[in-house]
Formats: sequence, C-alpha cells, structure tokens
Amino acid sequence: MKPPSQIRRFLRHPSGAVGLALLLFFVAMALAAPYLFPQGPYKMVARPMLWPGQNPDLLLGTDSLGRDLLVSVVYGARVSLLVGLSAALASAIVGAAVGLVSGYFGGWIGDMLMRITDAFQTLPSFLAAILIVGLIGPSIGTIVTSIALVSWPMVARLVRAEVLRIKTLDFVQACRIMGMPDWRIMLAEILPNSLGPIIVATSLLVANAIIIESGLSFLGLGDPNMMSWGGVIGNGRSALRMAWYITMIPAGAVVLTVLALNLIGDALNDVLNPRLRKG
Amino acid sequence: MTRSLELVNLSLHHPTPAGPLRAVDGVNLTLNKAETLGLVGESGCGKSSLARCVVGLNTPQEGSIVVGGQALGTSAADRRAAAQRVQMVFQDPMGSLNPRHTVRRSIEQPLKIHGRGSAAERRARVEELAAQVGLGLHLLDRYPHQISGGQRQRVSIARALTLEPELIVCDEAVSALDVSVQAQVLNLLTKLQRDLGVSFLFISHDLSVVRYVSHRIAVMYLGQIVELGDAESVWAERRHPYTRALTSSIPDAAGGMRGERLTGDVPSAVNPPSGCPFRTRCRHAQAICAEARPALTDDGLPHLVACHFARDFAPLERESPPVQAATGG
Amino acid sequence: MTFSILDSARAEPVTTAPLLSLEDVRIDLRPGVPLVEALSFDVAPGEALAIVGESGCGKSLTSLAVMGLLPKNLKAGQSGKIVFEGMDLATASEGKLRGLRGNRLAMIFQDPLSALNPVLSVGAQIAEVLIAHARMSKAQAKARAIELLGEVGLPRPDLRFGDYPHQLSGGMRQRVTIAMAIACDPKLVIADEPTTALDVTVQAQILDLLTEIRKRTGQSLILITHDLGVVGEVADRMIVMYAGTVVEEGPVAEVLSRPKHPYTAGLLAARPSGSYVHGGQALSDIPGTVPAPDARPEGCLFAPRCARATARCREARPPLDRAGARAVRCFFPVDGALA
Repeated sequence: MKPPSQIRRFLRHPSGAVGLALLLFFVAMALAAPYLFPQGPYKMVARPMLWPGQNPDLLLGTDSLGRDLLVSVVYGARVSLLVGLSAALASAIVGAAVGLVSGYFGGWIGDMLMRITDAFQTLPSFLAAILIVGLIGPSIGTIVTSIALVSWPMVARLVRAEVLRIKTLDFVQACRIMGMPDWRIMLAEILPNSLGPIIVATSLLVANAIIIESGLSFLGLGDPNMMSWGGVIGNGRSALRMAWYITMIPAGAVVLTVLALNLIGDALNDVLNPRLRKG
Repeated sequence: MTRSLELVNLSLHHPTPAGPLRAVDGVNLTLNKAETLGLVGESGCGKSSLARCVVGLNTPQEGSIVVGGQALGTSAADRRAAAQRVQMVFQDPMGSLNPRHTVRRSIEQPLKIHGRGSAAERRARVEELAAQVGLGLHLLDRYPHQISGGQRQRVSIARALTLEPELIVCDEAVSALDVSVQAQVLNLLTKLQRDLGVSFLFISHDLSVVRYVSHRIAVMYLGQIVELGDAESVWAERRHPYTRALTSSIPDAAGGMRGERLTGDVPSAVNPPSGCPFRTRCRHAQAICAEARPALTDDGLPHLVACHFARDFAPLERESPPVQAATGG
Repeated sequence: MTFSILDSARAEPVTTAPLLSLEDVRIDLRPGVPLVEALSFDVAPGEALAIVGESGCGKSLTSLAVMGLLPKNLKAGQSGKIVFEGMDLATASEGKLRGLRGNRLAMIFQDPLSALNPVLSVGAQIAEVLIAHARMSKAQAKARAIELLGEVGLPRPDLRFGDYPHQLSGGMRQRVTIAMAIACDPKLVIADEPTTALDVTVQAQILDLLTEIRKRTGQSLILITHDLGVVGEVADRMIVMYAGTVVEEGPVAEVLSRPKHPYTAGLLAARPSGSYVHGGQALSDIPGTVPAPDARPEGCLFAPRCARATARCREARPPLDRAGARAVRCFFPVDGALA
C-alpha cells in the first residue's frame, strides 16, 4: 500500500509507461509553447495551404489563412489539456462529493442525490454541452463548466458504489464506535480507500473532456480567443478535399492524447484496483 | 455489584419487504464488572445485531441499554461519550483495520479523536498498549497486510483498549483465526481481564470457546435468550433442547458424535413460529409449545431456561462432556 | 504396482492398488520458493482421508493440484506424480482432466453459494452434469436429479428441483453441491472445508451425510479441514500438513490420541477445553506463525515454533519416518520414536 511501490508498478506496466511518455510529451509541448513560438499561433507566416514539407521552415505546413500549423498544434495542446484537466478535476470533485454523501448517508438524502444524478446522466452529454455553451457563450470557463456538468454523474455513481462497499467494512464501523464524526469518517477513512477508482475514472474523463472540447470547437463553439485542436480541425473542414492534412494533423494530436490517457487509465486500473491485485 | 452492561427488554427490528425482521426480540441481560458473558448461537440468531446495539451501531426500537452506569444515547455527543465506555473487536482481522494506516496510527486513532494527550504522550500510550497485547514494537510501523492474522487481531484489541473502556464486545473475535493463534488470542483476553478488570461480551458460534472464556453463558435462538446462567451450570445441565443440540453437534476429535441431531434450518425471523421459537426443530415439542411462548425462568431450575419442559430434562452427566479433545504428549 | 496400506478399520494390512497416489509432489511459487514440497500420500478405494492443517499449509493447493485446477503460474511450478486410476494427472492433457472432473473425480467447495450458478435452478445444474458426463436424456437427467436431491436429504426434492440457489439455506445449498459432486458416481470426492461456512448444527448434518454417502457408494473421500473435531467424525486416516509438507500421517484415532509430531500435539492442546474462569488453565498455544514461503527455515520447518527443537532440528530437515501405518517427520517425536 506504500505509494513508492505503486509508482514503480505503474512505470513497469507497459501501457502505463508508454501512455505517460506520450502524455508528458504533449504536456511539455503545451508548457513550452510561448518560449518556442513567442509570436503566437495567429500570426500569418506564409501563403495559405502549404503542404507539410513544402517549405522546410514550416514543418507541418500552413492552414487556410497561412498560419503555421505546427504552432497551432503546439498552442492547441494548451487549450485541450487545460480544458481536459480542469473539466475532469471539477467533475471528479463534484461527483466524489455527491457519491460520498449519498453512499454514506443513504436514506432519503442518498435517494434524492441519486435521482439528481440520474437526471444529469440521461442528458445526451455532447448535445447538452452544445446547448449550455450556446446559451451562455463560448469561453474557456463555460466550456469547462458544461463538460463538467455532463461528466460528473459517472464519477458519482462509481464513488457511491465504492462507498457502499467500504462503509460496511469493519474498520469504518470501528471508527463510528470510536466516536469519530461522520464527516471525518467520509473524508479520512472512506475517501482515501476509494481513490483508486476515482483516479482511474478521472484519467478517462480527461480524455473524454478533450474530445468534447474538440467537438465544440469544431462546431465553432470553442473559445474564439484561444487556438485549440478542435478549432484547427474546424478551420480545415472547408478545405478537407484539397488540404486534408489541416484536419488530420490536429486530429492526430487528439487521438494520440486520448490514447495516452486511456493507456494510463488501464495501467492505473491494474495498479490501483485491489481486487485485481490479489488474485 | 456494579454493572458494566444492562439490557432491558431490548428489541431490534430490521424492516424487510416481507415485514419486520425481529433480529433481537425482548432481551434482558446484565454483565458485571470484570466479567465475561458468552453469547452463543447460530448465524441469524441475532447475536451480532445485539452486539451492534450495545456499541451504538444499531438503534433498537424498544428497550434500554445502560453501559457503565449511563444510558446509551444516539446523538453525536452521546456516541463520543459512549466510545470511552464500550469498544468492539471484530471477526475479520483484516477488514477491521484501515489498510492505509500503519499499526501505530490505528492504535493511536481513538486518542486523536478524543483529543487525549500530547504527541509524545500518545506515542508512549501506543507503545504501552502494544506491550500489553504482545505486539513487538517493530510491528508498529507496518501496514495491516504486512503482519499475520493473529497480530492484526492483537492490533484490534489494542485499539479497543486505548480509551480504557469498561466493556469490550468481541463479535466472533477468534472465529477467523487458526486454532494455534486462536489459543494465543484467548489467552490474551483472559490475561487482559485479570490485569485491567475489563468486561467482555463474548459473542461466538463456538460453544467450546465460549465455555472456556465465559463466567456466564447466554444461548440465543431467533432473537431470544433461551438459556442463561453460570457457565458451568449451563454446560453441565443444558436444560434447553437447543443448547443440547448445539453441544451434541460439536464435532468430536475422539470420533462419533452423539446425542440429538437437529433437522432443518433456523426459521425466518420475519415470520417466526408461534409460541416457542424453537418448537419447529424440537423433538420434544407438544401442543402447548405452539400456543404459549415459554418464559425465561429459573423456577425449580438451576438457572434461567425458556422451555415448558425444562424441569423434565435430567441434568446431563458431568463426567461425559461431549467435547474433550484428546490431548497427547 | 501395489502399495501396502493399513486399513485402520480392520487393523490388518490389505494389499490393494491405491485409487490415488501422490509421489513427491512439489508446487513452486517461483523457482526455489516451494508452497508444497515432498508431498506423498495414497488414498485407497473407499477410504476417507483427512488432510489437516492451518491456513497456508498447502492443503487446498494439494486438492487443486489433484483436480488439475491450479492457477497457471503455479501449474508451471508443479512437479512430481499424481496417479489416479493408473493415469498421471500431472502430465495429463486438459481435455483428459476435463473428462475426469465431475465424472471420476468430484469436488465440494467451502462456499456453496459461489459454487452454484445463481441464474440456473439447482435441479437444472445437477441435470446438466448428468447430461454432460453420463449422456442421459433430458427426462432421465431430471428424474435422476430429483432422486439425487432426495438422497442428499432435501425434503420434497420434486419441489426443490426448480429452486434457485438464493432460495435455499446454506446447509441446503451445500447438500445441492454434494448432489452435483456425486451425480456421476465418482471414484473420489474431494471436499475442501465443506462445513466451515456452516453452523454447527448444520455442519453435523452435512458430516453425517458425507459419511453415509461414502459408506453406501464405496467412494473415496479426501476431506480437507482445519478442524480436528471434523476429522474425528469423518475420516479413517489423516495426514497433518505444515508449511507445505506432511509432518504426520496415520489412522485418525491413533494420531488424535497419541500424536507423534509436536505440531499435531500442539494443535490438539490448543483447542479450548474446559473453562478458564472456573479454575481452568491458560491454553497451550503454539508461539509464532507459519514461515512465509520465501523465508523457510533451513532445518525442520516447525523448529522455530517448537519447544523441543535442538541444534540438530535447526540444521537438518528430518525425513518422514514410517512404521506401519504411521509416519512422522521429526527427529524427536513426542513419547519417543514410532514403534
């Protein structure tokens, strides 16, 4: 149960190591963007629709407005990862809180919270996100909120199931007998023991959030002030026949990032899931 | 004599779709200071539900629970106060410890919850407790999965002792242990009682274990106490047919179980038999057993028995206890 | 190939081929880390052999090895011979083993609820075994399944046929798994802690049933248990396992009344008897715990916990000494060497 050994196990896991390397590559890219390309992604550098390799200085070519596609992709990583991480974190926190309270207390409080969760879960998530962003207006904040709003029920259900299992364990009963307050039992005893599934779910939520953000941007509902992968894909849509690379290059970045996160999720699941570990 | 525990007319009903399940049905029990009361019965007889009532995990519908002279309340403050008078040791030594806490942290936890002592005082107390339950100090920084089952149960016992409660409820506390380790833990419990004067409500399905540790024995069936008295009196006389069936069912190393064999299973507590709860499995049952519930009485008996015909059963021979492990060497 | 076996009931040697014979079986967790080691024993036709030991002694692994049900990583570390009716199960193909399991070889598990399929009626599950192994028609299988349910003591078996596992009590469920095990009239039934999950009054019924079936059918029984009391009720002969190896073997009555190995004697003495509070004494426990597979002592495996151990015990592993029907793995047996 000691953390160091789990990190080692994770790194020894083949898909964990590959996924983490891939993700770190994109994270490094996002962090380094302003230093690598201080001019920013919106600067037109050459004539439009230069294919990759046509100009040796522009490795990935230019888009339909003559902007450097490489710079767009590098800056796009910032938005995609930022949105993905914050939306996933927000839904994990909301979902974990709802799941904890409804699972621990049960009764009418639990029932009520679960009905609310059900209601949110029945929303078709992408359409709901479009609706919210469309109503409030596209900005990073609203995009994150809308994605979190449609993603948290998954975490809530997961956490609730864990809490229902853990709260019957004797050590939790022992804490109640010791006179430990309920909030402390929930936060200090039950939550740490249900972190495994929450972490796994969050890694997958990041991937999901990146896909939703890309979709929104593709439809023109992305933050207009920030270059995102979905936005680049959307821009390339009109020129798909002549210059499909404009769409395919950022799409490839989305695919690789999502793949990386899924690989990490799989590895985390193997490492953190105690039921698999003890076989 | 001062009492560690007094249960008066305790009833606990669990709601089920088929109606209320009478887990505990009008139980009266007392437990003296520094005494062990053994509560024995089969699964579903309500002994664990009763234990959970005593430690405040279940709230009974009827009756009162007085632990260490004070009634058990339900508010958070009551629960905190009760924690210093009654604690529990569970069956599963692995499940009763937080897998993410070291042994030291588990034993120290009650002190922290109740804000007792400075860090140094708490540390000293933890080490004192570890010595009391026979845990080497080198084990204190291990995690539960790094120690053996018997050691885990010692940790649970140390944790239960931390706040110096008057009463410790042991719910099948040695049932999951191997025989040799079970003996170690039983010896520890008797030693702790001698040294600290703590009382035990010792719950088990194993009558030979209960007989070994208990001053008095209560036999429970379908939520009711059917026989209650001094341990040796209950063991020797066995006036209730159910107690007799229990003892004759204990497998005997010397070979060949004898005596009465029960047929069938425990009836549902949602829909218990009329009259005597045991009558559906009792070979001595008569018409009156279906009509009237026998009172728990010691009128004309050596101890309390709830059976219409208890006076007709001859005391069993003291010389031939059905369980006597052959001990060689 | 014949082996001399002392039948305890008749107390005179009978020479028959054993039904099952284990020869120097070893199961490694990793190379050099044995979970079971130097394990040899025979089971005669119609005999009830108990394998006794505490958790981690390798008794359940032994039964899984006989059934060919060891997990893959352990199967790779398995060596030695397991001869059943003249065939070495250790080298038999999975197809051959599948043909034997449920047919010639049957197993009863500790937890009847997880041994039964929750979405099939108990009757259908028994009938399935009969259709698969005994090639019965559906109607024949149903009739025989009802008969079997009656044989294992289910009241109104015709009504119980359609019940699902969750509708039955624990004892009834275990009766159903017993009916499944004996459905094809196996030669050997392995019961792994069959009554550990049951109440004492129900345990007594199930033990009676196992004995009754064995006497009626002439099947052999391997009973795996931690409970010496259960051994006394059911078995003719017993072996005591400690840390993956046999430490004592012999007729049940003799081993229980005159144990030779200090571990067996310790187990017997550790059982609670009498009353502590009414003038009794502390129980004599066995100090310490079973060694971990990767921390096995050099000499006798029991030496670190043994009050009788000497320097010799800590240096060399004692062999399993045989004399007649009894065997003990100890340099200094309780009450002297075997006669």
